[in-house]
Amino acid sequence: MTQTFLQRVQILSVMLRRDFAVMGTSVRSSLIDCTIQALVMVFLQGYLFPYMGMPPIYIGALCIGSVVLFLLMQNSNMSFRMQSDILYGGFTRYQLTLPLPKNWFLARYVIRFAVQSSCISLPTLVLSFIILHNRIPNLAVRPILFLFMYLLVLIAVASFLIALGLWHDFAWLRANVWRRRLDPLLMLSTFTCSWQAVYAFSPKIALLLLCNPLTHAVESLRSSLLYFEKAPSLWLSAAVLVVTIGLNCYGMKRGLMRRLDPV
Amino acid sequence: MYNKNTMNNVNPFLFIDSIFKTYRDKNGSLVQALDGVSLEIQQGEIFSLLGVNGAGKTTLSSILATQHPPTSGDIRFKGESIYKNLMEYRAAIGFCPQKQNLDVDLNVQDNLLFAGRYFLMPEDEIRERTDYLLNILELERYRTFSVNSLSGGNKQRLLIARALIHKPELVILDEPTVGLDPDIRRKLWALIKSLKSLGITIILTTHYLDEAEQLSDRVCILDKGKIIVLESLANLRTMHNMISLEELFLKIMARTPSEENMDKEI
Repeated sequence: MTQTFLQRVQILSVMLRRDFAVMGTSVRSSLIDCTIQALVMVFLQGYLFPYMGMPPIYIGALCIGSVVLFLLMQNSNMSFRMQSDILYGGFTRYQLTLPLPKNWFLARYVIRFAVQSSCISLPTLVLSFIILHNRIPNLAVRPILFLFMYLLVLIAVASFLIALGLWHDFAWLRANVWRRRLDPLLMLSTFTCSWQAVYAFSPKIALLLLCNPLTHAVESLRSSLLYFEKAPSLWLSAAVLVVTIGLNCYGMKRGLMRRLDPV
Repeated sequence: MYNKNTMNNVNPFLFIDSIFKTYRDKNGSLVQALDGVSLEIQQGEIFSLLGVNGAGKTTLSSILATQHPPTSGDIRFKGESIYKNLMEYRAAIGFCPQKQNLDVDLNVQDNLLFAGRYFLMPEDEIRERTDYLLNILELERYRTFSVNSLSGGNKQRLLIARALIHKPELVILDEPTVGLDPDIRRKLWALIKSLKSLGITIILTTHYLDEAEQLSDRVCILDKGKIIVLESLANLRTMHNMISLEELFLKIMARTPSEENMDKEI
């Protein structure tokens, strides 16, 4: 009897149930992480930086930049864990022999990374915005749009880090992924300042920064929560993120074949 | 000793048809791990794969467990290529790998419960089967222990329990008793024999010749990715006046000398 689509969904949901059960054991630790991150963000970006002369219009923008940084950090940690599991012949290899096609196996990893990283980044963002809402003059929350863009950003970041994790070996990843991949992407994006500020300084540089998908990740979240006169189109950002996810999926599959040679 | 033409062509339980496996090692050079392996395995038999380290035993068992694809060749399960309906084949096999790959984030019981769920077994059947396996593998008292706190022997038993949770028709055991003390080895042998009595087909990869002699109906000796012996133990005894499998193995290996084999474990 051929396996049905529904059976695949059921197996995928069992795998996710297992992942959520494991995640559930670290709820307390996640809550502590969120609180610390939110309080540090509120103190620095809501109070200290404005006292040092930063215009209040950038308070919200900086908070969102920091949340994208947290997303990258958390996903890279999860990618390291996945890599060490693969290296030592662990549970990942067992899962590849279960009756689930490898594309579904990769989808499960993306969902797991996205959910796990959102458990910390989303409460951190919400908490800091609740505390700082009176201090952010350009607050313009569009909740549905935000959730849509946030979902795209989560999937894009998760699939990128999984692709990197599957493509490179553990030693390379540990030593080089931040210096050679993530830091350049992050520094050449607009995570520390708004795209509007870069555009005011140099429109050419601002346009060049649009080649970086991380710029779109940060700016799409900003555009759905804040108002800026100049910002990249949300639909352009969404399109770039979708293309990025597509490329990441290709990278994940190639990486999986290269590293694990599965059937 | 081995003649491919003598193979029965009437849909055997498992038919391995001219499997080749080539891969690149860390230095980039090509390694021919399996060189045209063909054999049949009948339902309900214990079939042992023997050979020195690097002979291709683990490569063949990992291909049978669908961890890796062959470079060329086919495997037919009940007459149909496993690659045509991979998911169905995976549901019919249980695999106990050489390297322990348990879920270290879950405890002993949850490892089995989730393993059953992955195969979409009904929940009450999973619980019943988990209790049964924990009991017969003497893991009952470790039910709530984390996997990392188990001894090597208990981890091995848990791996076997996990491979059996969904009542597979074919069980592939890759070096299941490596590093275990003699008492536990004997217990595992008894368990493997009891699986055979339930009609389960077992492929056993081992480099312990006494283990193969105790358990196997047929043995296949691999050397450099090729089959050099494929015969039942009874026939081997008659044909070669064999006293022990070890004696025969040493005789065969002496006939196919290689510098590599001199340092090998067996």
